[in-house]
Amino acid sequence: MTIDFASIVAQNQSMVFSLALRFLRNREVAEELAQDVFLQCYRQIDRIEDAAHACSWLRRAICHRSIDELRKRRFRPSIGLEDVPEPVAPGGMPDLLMRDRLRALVEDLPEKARMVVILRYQEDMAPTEIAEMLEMPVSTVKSHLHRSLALLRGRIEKKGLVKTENCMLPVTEACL
Amino acid sequence: MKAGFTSIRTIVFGVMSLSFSGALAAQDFDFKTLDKLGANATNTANITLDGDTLRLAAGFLGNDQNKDAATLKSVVANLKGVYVRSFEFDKPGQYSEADVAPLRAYLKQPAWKNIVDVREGKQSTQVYLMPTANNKLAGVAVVSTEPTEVTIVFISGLLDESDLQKLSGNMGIPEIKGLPGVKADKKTK
Amino acid sequence: MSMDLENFEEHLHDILRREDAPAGFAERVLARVSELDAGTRAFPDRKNVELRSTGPVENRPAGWQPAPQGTRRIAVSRPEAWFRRPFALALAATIAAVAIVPAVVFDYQRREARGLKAEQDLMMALAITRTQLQMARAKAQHRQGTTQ
Repeated sequence: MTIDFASIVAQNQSMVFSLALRFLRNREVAEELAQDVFLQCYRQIDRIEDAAHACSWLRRAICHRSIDELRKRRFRPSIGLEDVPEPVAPGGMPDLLMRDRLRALVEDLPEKARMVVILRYQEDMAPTEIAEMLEMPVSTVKSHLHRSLALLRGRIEKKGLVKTENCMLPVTEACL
Repeated sequence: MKAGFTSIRTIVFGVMSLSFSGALAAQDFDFKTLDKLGANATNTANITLDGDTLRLAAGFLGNDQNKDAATLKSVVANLKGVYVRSFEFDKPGQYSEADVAPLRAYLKQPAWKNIVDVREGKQSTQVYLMPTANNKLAGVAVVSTEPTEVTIVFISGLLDESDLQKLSGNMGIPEIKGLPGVKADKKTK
Repeated sequence: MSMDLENFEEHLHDILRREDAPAGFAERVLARVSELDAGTRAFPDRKNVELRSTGPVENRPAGWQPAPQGTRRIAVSRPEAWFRRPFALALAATIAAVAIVPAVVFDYQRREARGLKAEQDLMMALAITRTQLQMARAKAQHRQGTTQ
């Protein structure tokens, strides 16, 4: 079966670029890496069986290359969590702030947890699929997901962007 | 049940004023003996932070300009180890008291003072302190069991009373809902 | 509108939706593929061409015989030296740069990743500790209140 490389690029460019971008948090580096991965795919085009295989091959390649790239480069978030401005009073644009805040929090997760969260919520992959792709146990994937969600929720709450029924336990003087 | 004290703070002062020598190190307890607890757990938090890892973590706690971060760093600087084991189960009967027994036996040693022991139905909560000679604490342990949850907190170091207060205060630590061990007791709301 | 915790995962899906590749991305990839293909075609077709040495007579190998009359002589266009090709030069520079990065830099990267994870673990541990201490206090005070 002849593989049309141009159509592979067209069909998968957003997926590859977006995975790299969400993980590396830098557009220029994400594009550079995405291009490299497609080139790598082209060099091994003989091993690609069909369009679906190309998609999973590219996804796996960009994940692993992104993790490797992060280890080689020194990426810092452009702002730290402490520097994110406080939400505006009601009547402003809290929704956009919240989205930005949540995105920043995801981007600040440790690398493995971040990749797991991105694969789960960008690619809608099941934990078993993520485990196979990242070559880690399923229990580790689930643990990453669970702890990351808990942490993200907690930090969003702390910044007062969420209403909840349960308020925090009151801070009083000495405990014991 | 140990009740009848008017102020838990009084108890803490009393405990800390005891002269004590030859205290067993809090970190002598082998946490692997608690692994069986998690066999049927649906949700677990298993955290071990000691030595270099704890110091490394402290280095990432934010800059000292932030008051909360500075407070947190000052407390963590006095710690040698933080051990948390928390397990949630989907129904009662998924763990055995025998699985917690090794820890309870360890905390029965003379070095540890049981300052809180509350049992209500099938829930129980104990707090232990390990005092040292100079009014400090070499260890703090909390053991909380419910039919569908077990949480163990074990802290070793050289803490004073203010550190203990800070550990139960805010210090910029977010409320992380959804974690085992962070479920508010409805009766205390 | 504030975020509803129950729809938290929906919000994660929303903020992590795929972003389109930059304009012209596919064209740039295909252009690099073309360069790659061009780089592998180093020599012209050598059919019906005989290569002749153009060195001085004294350097010619032993047993050399002049070509029969009528043999076409052509100048062989040597492939451009690798260090003159921009892509190869960039690749060589990249390899050299990666090879000479000090081990301490890699170690720092690993340490930073470990530190961030350790910090998150510490925050979780302290959150659980705070809750448990507060609950123990509340239970003890509640018990104290009911027995007095």
